[in-house]
Amino acid sequence: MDPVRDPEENEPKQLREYADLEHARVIEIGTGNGRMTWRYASLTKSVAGIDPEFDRLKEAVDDRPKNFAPEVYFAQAKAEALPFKDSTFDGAIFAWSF
Amino acid sequence: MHALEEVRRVVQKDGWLLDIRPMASKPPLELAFGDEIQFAGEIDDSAWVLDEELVNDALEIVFARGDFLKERVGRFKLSTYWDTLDEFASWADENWDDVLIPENTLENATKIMEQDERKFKIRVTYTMLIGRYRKS
Repeated sequence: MDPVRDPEENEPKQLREYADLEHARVIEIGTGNGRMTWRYASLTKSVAGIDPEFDRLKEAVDDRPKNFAPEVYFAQAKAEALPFKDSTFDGAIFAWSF
Repeated sequence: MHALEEVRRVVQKDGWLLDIRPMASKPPLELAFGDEIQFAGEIDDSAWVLDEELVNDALEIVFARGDFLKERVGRFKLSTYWDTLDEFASWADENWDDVLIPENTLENATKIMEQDERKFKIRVTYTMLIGRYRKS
């Protein structure tokens, strides 16, 4: 059984305090299965979740709440070669992935 | 380093970069029952120290170059809970290649659970780093 991570919701509180998420176009590097993405995506204009591991991204796509599509989308890529044009995003989140 | 350059490219002028990651901090393994917490021992994550130093060094280089400005850095606690010690041990085995659970930590946890019949949850609490940097 999967563990329960951060039921105290410290992580989303900190995310909201530190990042200018309101209506922002965000790229999340190391999005994995979207565990963290769902905790802030509703505040943003859009989120592009990037991860090199296809299986984890598939989990994220399968779990994506219907009201988030297509504003939350996922791409298999490495941080060293992002498939986006210059200046596409307002902000970037390195999620447990530096 | 190249990842930071690439992120800088795709973020607009004055855009932000949020860095959120666990710090190597010998996190405590505890047994939790409601508000009652019993310490069983530490987890050995010292293998992460070198990686952490490399990341911090790479960030210092981009700050020194003026690619990003460090605006704010803080810390917070993030806890993860398992229902049983077996579930925790099995999860750790599958997910932590380079983190060691010292034998006495597991022994202490087992001893506490044998002496107290309440249904404790297993809790590991990491100190997290959170930093906001601004593209300059």
